[in-house]
Amino acid sequence: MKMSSFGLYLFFFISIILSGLVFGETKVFQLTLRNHLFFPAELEIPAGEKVKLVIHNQDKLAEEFDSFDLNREKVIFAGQKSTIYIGPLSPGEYHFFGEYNPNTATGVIKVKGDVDAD
Amino acid sequence: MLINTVILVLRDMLPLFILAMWFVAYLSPRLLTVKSILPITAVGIVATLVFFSFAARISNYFDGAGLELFLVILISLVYVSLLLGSAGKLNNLNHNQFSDKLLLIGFCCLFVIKGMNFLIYFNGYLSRSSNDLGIVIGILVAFGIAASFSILCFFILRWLAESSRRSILNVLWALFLAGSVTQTVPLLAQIDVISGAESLWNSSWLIKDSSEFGHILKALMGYEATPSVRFILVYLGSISLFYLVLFIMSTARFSTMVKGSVNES
Repeated sequence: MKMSSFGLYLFFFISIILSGLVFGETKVFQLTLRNHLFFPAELEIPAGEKVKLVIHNQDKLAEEFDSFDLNREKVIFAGQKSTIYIGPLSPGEYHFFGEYNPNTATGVIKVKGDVDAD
Repeated sequence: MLINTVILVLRDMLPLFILAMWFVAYLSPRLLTVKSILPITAVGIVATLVFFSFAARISNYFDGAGLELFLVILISLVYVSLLLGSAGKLNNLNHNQFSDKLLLIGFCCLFVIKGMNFLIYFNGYLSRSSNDLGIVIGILVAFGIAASFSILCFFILRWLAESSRRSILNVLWALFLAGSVTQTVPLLAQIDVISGAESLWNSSWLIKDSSEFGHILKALMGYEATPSVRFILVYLGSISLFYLVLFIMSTARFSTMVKGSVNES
């Protein structure tokens, strides 16, 4: 009896996790770093949603993705891809830069849309 | 580039200098002597070089979250060792040598975290720049600023300690500890271990994170212009934990003293 109720709980637990994976898929956005410049320099993401940002450093040197507005800091080693999660954010502009090349490697994330919209 | 070097080196050097001043001025004045600094620095440099050489590989573990998890572990180690070490020292417990060792472990771990950050930047800069003098000047200027600020910190902390303002010192130390452990919150949020909730307030209009004052306050007490609910909870929880550990250790010390006096009589 105890085992069957445990199995039921386990089933519900796994179902909840799987439903989250299927229905709550996070949107992915790509950012490339080349010649100490971010491409695209402007990225548009939806408001009120957590998004995944994949940054590909195509340079031969490491760079640190930094943003005081987003409160994110991540070293991306030469030739590697790194992932960071940002949001949910309110509509507005969130600036970011490469900490080792702050004069050239700059960009902005524009958050658009309604926060409550689903 | 000179200014950037100064900012980056200061960002990494200032917390280390401030922690050293806390040791010298309040927690354990005899811990960092000229004799002990050399082996501590040597251990710190070797550990930093080892971890730096593996940093790119560590970064690829756990679906790209390896470096964050590694830093979270190191920051937690800094916090726990400094918390227990300082509480032991402040209560003058019998196992003071153990407290000293804990404080040194905390210092070395912070050395590794900051040293690794600096080496990643330094390595990249040296690989491409022909203006090597610029980086040397930048490091020297940053070292000068950090040293000057630390001396100022030392005199303020010494003045507070000598005028028996222990409660103020304990509050400031609790804020420093809280500031160090809250660095784990954005790291865990950016690898999606905890959700990156909206910030509670925005005090950028008063002090920006990117400003000089913002950097100094961050090093002193973990200032954050746009803190999330989790950040505030961890911050307050850390301060409460410090006082709880201090209380538990003082109770243990009191009961040991009572037992000792009963045995003597």
